[in-house]
Amino acid sequence: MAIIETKNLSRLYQDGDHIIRAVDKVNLQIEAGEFTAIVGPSGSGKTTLLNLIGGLDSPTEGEVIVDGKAIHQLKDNALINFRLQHIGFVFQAYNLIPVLSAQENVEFIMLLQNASARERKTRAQELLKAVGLEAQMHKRPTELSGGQQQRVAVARALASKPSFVLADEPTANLDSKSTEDLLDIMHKLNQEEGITFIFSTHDQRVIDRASRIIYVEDGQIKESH
Amino acid sequence: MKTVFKIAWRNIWRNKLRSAVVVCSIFLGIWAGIFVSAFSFGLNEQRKESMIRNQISHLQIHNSAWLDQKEVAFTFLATAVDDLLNKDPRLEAFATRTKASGMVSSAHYSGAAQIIGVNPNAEAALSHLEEKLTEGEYFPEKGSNPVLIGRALAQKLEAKIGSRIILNFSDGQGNIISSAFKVKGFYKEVSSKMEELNLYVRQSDLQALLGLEPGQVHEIAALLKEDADIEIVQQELQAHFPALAIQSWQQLSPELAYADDIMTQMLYIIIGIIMLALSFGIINTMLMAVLERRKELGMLMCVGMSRTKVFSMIMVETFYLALLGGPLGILLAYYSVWQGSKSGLDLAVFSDGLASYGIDSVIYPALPSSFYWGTTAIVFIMTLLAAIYPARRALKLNPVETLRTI
Repeated sequence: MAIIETKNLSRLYQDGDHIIRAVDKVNLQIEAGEFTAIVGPSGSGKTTLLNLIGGLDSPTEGEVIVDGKAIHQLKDNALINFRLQHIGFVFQAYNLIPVLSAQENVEFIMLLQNASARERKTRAQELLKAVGLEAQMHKRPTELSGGQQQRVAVARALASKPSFVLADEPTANLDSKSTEDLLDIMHKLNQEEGITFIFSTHDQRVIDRASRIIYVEDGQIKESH
Repeated sequence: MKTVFKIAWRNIWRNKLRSAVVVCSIFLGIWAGIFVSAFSFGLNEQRKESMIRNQISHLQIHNSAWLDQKEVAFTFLATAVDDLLNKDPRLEAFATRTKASGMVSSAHYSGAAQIIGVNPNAEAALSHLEEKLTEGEYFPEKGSNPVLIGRALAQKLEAKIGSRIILNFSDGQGNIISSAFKVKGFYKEVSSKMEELNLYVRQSDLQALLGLEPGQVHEIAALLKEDADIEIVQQELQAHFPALAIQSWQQLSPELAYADDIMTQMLYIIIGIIMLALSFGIINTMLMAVLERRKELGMLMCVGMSRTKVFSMIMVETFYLALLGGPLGILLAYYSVWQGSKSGLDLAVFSDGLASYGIDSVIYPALPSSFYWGTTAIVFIMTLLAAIYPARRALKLNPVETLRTI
């Protein structure tokens, strides 16, 4: 069963007299356990499609169904809560909370879910260990390298036990070594724990690891394999 | 909410200098506001106390007709009132006075005078007249017609101890009395106007010159031990002596009572104005903090932090700044007021101006404790109000726009 399904999904923007079709009548299904890369040239609509799937943006028309729920119909607070419970996010610029340690950043999501202190601590430590940061748990983001910060971001994305993780250009700011390390971790999590990852990316190393590639151009899916 | 408090606390230390500037401005603003208020309050209290102790006392008793026209004839017999007041333990002191308005003259000066006949011992206990003497003797037993004059009047009259001055006034029948008095002492008052106007003579001497019987007086002034008893004692005396006019200091000096009434309100207005100015600084700082962290706030909303929690976090950050600056300012102000109330602030350079208003040149700042609580409440209310605008700006952030990409 598809965990993500879009039906005739469109997102239009007004730019002066012009209407830009950032996403244009996209029909897409993503199954649980996929390691999917959404690729395409800059301005092709990858990020907009990811935003719509993640409930961060509202479609102009069409439907987004996640875990059987039509999220395009949800109101603001319900949507925020849905994201908290069902979706993990990894951002290009890491976007960790700078005043919290690595462990606290991971625990933060679980705090929003009202998890107990013991559960938070145990799971945060397990996740940080899984991404190879057991020695850096108590360091703040400024004390970590870019690659380490992105690994904390992956641990944070997984903290809420989401149905899937959306990652927008997760390797864009990383060097080769960090990119390989991060991909190894995410691939391992996908293979061993069945976690679904959906990337938007330009990075060939990410594309090479993907189990499915969706090629987007002019807001439309041109190819999917 | 624990997370919100924790993150908010750490957030305020991201830019230590900026937070320190806000905390310092709150702290200094409150300190200055409270200290200025304490100075004003202390000054007003001193003026009130000075007026009560030196001029009007807590209660005054007169012949009812005296209130309309201060004629020599409008006396009353003090004996019955004396007996009652003597037995009342709530009274600190009281004294009878006989008064006449007239002129004082010497070879060098002539001017208006309020001649007050006093019982030396009772007056010393009531208005501490004896302690105010800077030169001479306090109504010596030997010698006739002694008079005590203020230093300011002595300068105008060019009088010395032992000089003779002439007092002119009307008696009860309208006859002009002119009598020589011998200057036995100079007194000092906080008010230079009082020094120029009031002359003190023996009550018996003045009664004899006015043709009054012993016991016939124009005024009984009384001081009470507790302010709270003033109204009760006034009502009791009025019930005993319905024909007499018993007035409290508030009735005798309405402008003084009014100043006393509005003082606290005025002080709250001062604090309110200071806090209003401070609140713009807080709005500016918190707005900068929100705009600087747009991306982070957007991320928080993306990953599932509700808008209510984002709003609360900004409010709590502002609250923390007030929590640091406010109590520090209030504590320092409390210490400054306490220290000032012991040593006083010497404004000798303005002593002439202050004296003309009946205020001593050493001001003792004072504030009722309720004012500190009131100020604390104002600080926190104004701070929270100031936080609303930046917090609302945070609420209006569009997560997608702030992140540009997820």
